[in-house]
Amino acid sequence: MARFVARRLLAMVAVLFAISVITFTIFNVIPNGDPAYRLAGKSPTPDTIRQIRHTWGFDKPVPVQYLKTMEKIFGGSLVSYSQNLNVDDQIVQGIPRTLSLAIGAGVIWMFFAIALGLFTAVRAGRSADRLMTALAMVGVSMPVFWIGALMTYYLGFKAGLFPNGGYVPITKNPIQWAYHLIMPWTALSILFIGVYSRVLRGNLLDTMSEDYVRTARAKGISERRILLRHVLRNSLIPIVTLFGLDFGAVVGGGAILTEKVFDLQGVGQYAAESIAQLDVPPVLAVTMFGAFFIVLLNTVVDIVYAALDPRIRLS
Amino acid sequence: MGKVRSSLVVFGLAAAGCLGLVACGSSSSDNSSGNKNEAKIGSVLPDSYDPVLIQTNQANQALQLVYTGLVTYNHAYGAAGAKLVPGVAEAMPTISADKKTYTFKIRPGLKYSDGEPVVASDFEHTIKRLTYLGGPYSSFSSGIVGVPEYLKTKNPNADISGITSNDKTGEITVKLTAPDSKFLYAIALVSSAPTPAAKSPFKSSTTIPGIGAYTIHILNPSREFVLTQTPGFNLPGIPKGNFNKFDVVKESVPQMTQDVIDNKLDFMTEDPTGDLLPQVEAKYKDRFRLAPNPPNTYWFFLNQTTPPFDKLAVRQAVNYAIDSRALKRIFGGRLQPTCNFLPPGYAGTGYKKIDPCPYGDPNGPPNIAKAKALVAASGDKGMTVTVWGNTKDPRPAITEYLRSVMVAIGFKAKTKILDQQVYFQTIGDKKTKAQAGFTDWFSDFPHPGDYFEPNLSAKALASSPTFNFEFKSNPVVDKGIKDLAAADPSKVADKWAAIDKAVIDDADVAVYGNELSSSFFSSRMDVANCSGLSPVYKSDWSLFCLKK
Amino acid sequence: MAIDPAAELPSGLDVEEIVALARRDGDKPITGVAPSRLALRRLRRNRGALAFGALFVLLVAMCLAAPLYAKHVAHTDAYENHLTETIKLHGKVTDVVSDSGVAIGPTWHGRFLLGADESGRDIAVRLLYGGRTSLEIGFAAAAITILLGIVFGILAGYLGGWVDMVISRVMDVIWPFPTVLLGVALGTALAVGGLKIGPLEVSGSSLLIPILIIGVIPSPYMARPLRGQVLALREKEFVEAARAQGLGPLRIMFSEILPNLSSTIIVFAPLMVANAILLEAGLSYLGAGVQAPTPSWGTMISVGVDHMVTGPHQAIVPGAMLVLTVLALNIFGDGVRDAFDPRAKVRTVK
Repeated sequence: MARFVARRLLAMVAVLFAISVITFTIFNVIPNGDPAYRLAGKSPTPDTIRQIRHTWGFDKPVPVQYLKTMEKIFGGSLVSYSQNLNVDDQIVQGIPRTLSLAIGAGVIWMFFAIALGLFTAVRAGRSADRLMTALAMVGVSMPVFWIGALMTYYLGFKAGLFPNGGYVPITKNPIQWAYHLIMPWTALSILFIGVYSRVLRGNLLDTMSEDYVRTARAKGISERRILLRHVLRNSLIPIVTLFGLDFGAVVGGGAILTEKVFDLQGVGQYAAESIAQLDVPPVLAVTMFGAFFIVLLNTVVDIVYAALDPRIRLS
Repeated sequence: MGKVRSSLVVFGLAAAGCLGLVACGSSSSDNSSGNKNEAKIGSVLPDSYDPVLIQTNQANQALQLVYTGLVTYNHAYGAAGAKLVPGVAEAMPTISADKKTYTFKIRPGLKYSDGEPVVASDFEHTIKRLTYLGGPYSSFSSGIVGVPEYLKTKNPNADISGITSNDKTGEITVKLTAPDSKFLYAIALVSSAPTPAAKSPFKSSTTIPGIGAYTIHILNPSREFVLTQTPGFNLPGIPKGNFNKFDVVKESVPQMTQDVIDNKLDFMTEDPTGDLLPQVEAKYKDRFRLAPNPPNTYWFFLNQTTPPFDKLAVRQAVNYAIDSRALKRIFGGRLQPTCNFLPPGYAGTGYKKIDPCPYGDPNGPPNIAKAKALVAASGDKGMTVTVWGNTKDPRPAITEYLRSVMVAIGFKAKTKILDQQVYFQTIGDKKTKAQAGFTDWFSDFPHPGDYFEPNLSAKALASSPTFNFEFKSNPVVDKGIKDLAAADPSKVADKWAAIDKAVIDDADVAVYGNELSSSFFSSRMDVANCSGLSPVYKSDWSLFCLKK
Repeated sequence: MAIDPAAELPSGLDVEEIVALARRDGDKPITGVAPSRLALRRLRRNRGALAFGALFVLLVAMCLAAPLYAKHVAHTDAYENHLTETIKLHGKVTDVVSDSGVAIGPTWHGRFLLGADESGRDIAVRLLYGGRTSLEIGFAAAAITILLGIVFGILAGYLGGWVDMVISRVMDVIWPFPTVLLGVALGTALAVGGLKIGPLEVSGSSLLIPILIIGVIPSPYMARPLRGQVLALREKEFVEAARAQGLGPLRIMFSEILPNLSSTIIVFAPLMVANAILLEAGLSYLGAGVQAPTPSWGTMISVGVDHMVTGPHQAIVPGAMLVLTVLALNIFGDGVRDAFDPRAKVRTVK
């Protein structure tokens, strides 16, 4: 087991390395505007450009630049092209916002997904199931930024039910914190509820036809008890796995669209803005940050699986 | 249906809970109504907090209150606000007969916000930082003797031979390589304001003290900063401001607009979103001002080194075909059509309305038939033209409009839209060969040279990237810049006006209008008397006041 | 391990779901010959899925008819601006775009049926042309995803060894990459610089760029499950038999194994198209997808989002079209899966 864990961790580092190289390459190989020009401002003299290349190290070979950048990311001294801001600080500032989005949305989507999954599985094939499945389908078919924009306009702007944008730290006022986040939570959840409830429904139906459930039923245990104690518990495992990974993705800044449309100014939005400005240092750092969470949770899930099921370790 | 109902109940409870929250949690960020000494401002935050590295209007607007130059702009409305007055220097400099040597004397006993005394050599230090760090305005100091040599040493502490300072007498002498009346206007900007050498390292820094009515405290560089009145600040002629404190927060523009409407913000540095503008204009007339500040011009550049715009007839055709009325609509009404390159803000220093406009009344319909005929005659009909633009709203629509004009006059056309952060450097790179597209110019300082030199001169072509997107200069412009360099622009306004006309006659550019910037205030601000409209900074916060 | 890091976006894709299924399907016996006829029969019985399938066909047909609508009903094209024009509406002369820049709303007449956008262009016309773009991207990108998925899945699964190693490792890297981030980064960088591979040059505004990005990035989602299936198939008797007959590996891979993957591919296809359409919208919203002035549903929504107050229809209309299309594809695709998936029975029997 120890060897397996070590191997997985090593693979994780390798993947992160590869991701950083790819991101760095995307912005250094594709011609997209010399950062020295942007930093130089209006009508620079060639001397000024040379000076900037020198101070920022753009005159060094690309691999050296890559190493320097990585060194700065881990040393916490990387600065962005625009505003010369410390990139790590900026990410740290975005974390509470992104984390708030992830936690709240996670609770909502898991709750409703389980409720909906149970409901549809119990009523599989009936009209109520069809209706709910169709609703779940509508949920997964909507672009999150579209539903977000409609919410901000109709619920926030027109009806004035919810604040548009803005973020209140939970430490300052937990009620306002939740109130400001309800719309983003809902928008992001709609999609996941659709996906998760359908996966859960499938799993539940599979489990219901397992032998041990039939045995339990034969033993005269109540339907409700069977459903909750035996069926649901076993069917939840894959869902919880998925949840871990999706949650990791959202925490890592994966919910770019949601963050942007609700102007949350979290990690994802920082990434989106930096990319739009071709501001390479933050893009690299955020990509690494996001990939780290995803890869970490991937690895954790793999290891947990391996612990549960020894066969995996051999493959 | 039991389960459905129960989950509906849960949902209903959740909704009811939310409504409860609305009731119990009333406006939390309503700061503006309470404190009479404090104003809250929504802004796109400065591009930097280091005075030598700033470039945006938002940065200049805020930091001009923190960093004062040897000379500075008068804090006044209208043309008076474009006038230079002594700042850190006790009087306007004495200028030598050959107009190449300027002698300043700083006010005695002056202190920075941290209590450090101001010494004459701090000015040279600032110019060194500006040059060494390659700040956006560093080109303005390249005319000082010894600056190119200084750069070559790669030693930040090397001497700039053209600047001598005497810390004892407070005297500063600056030698220019050639007479240049722009010099004083340039050093009046924030980027040349003296800062203490000991606290201004040769790297980007956010903790540099200055001399100004306000002192900056950066709470969070990407979200919020505060300006507080500097205790003991006293520079004759420079206002101390009516608020103890400006709290400046970053918000998205729609959010800002909403917050000013709701009186949660006292002022916003941006224009209300185009979306809300009609409503704002109609409903809050008394809180809203429109003015062509800072002076600006919007035009389409036409690259004269690539076909088809190397032909005068084709450039004229574009000018004939552009419909400023259409563009005004794209600007949500905030555009004054014009035929001049210089904006009306230069009245008295070079603006003279070109009337009649050679391409028809800018407020009237275009002459597509004539344009078509010109293109047909040029032989370039059917050529493919790529029109460039950037992502900042409404520029994609402006770009798309130009594309449609190109199609209407007989070209095949497509657009290319880049992020505004990389747009100008990309089209300003000769290798890009950008044929035509969007550009604009907001005056850095009120001197016509700042309009013609970067945008149309041969001198600008020496920089790469350049702002001369025509990639060719008009000889009249080059000659004018040379002849008028030494003169005070107000004395040679007619000559600048003649250059303006020559540019339009040669169709070097396709000008269509001056943008009106809006200032939008909370209801407690006295907009009628203290709108703060500044011809240099757009808004001068030190003039803001509350209603009596 | 499964995750769609961009769960936000491609989720229409149900990656989780598919992968969750694929994970279990690995252990399952491969179904024998000719279940396809059975599956089709099952699909034919699913009237709901067929109805949405028909709806999708109808939507495609509408978009294909865009030029006809533009020419004969709206009398304009997708690009022509009518900024300074007026139209007569209920006997009243109305500006297409007002002096202060507010575009006309739906007229419910031939011209500007659904109103105009901020450049005074006919939204209904752009909606249909935009649909062509979105569908084009959807189909082309899905084709790329499926093709890459098949090629890499089969190669890795059948050949094993170092080929499998390389392909699997590459997929390992793309798999956890924050998808939207990668897509947006590539899209933005390429939109500025264009793409140059040897003599091939693609301009930054070309549709090929979003197609490639949207097609390539999700390909591991397809390749991984297929590889798993091929691993199992490789050991089957019919493959052994083919090998014994002296058939080359290429022949075996593509004429023996590929047909056995068809049901998985058929199940994937509609969901991949749906996903690609959604991804296009997301990328365009972030400025990294389709470039102006080419209309697509994504670009139209993202422009519309900025004009919610003065003209909410600008975002609602293209959004609704997109949702309808993706929904039709998803429900139809769900029906296809129920029909082709061997476990379909389990699902309906309690």
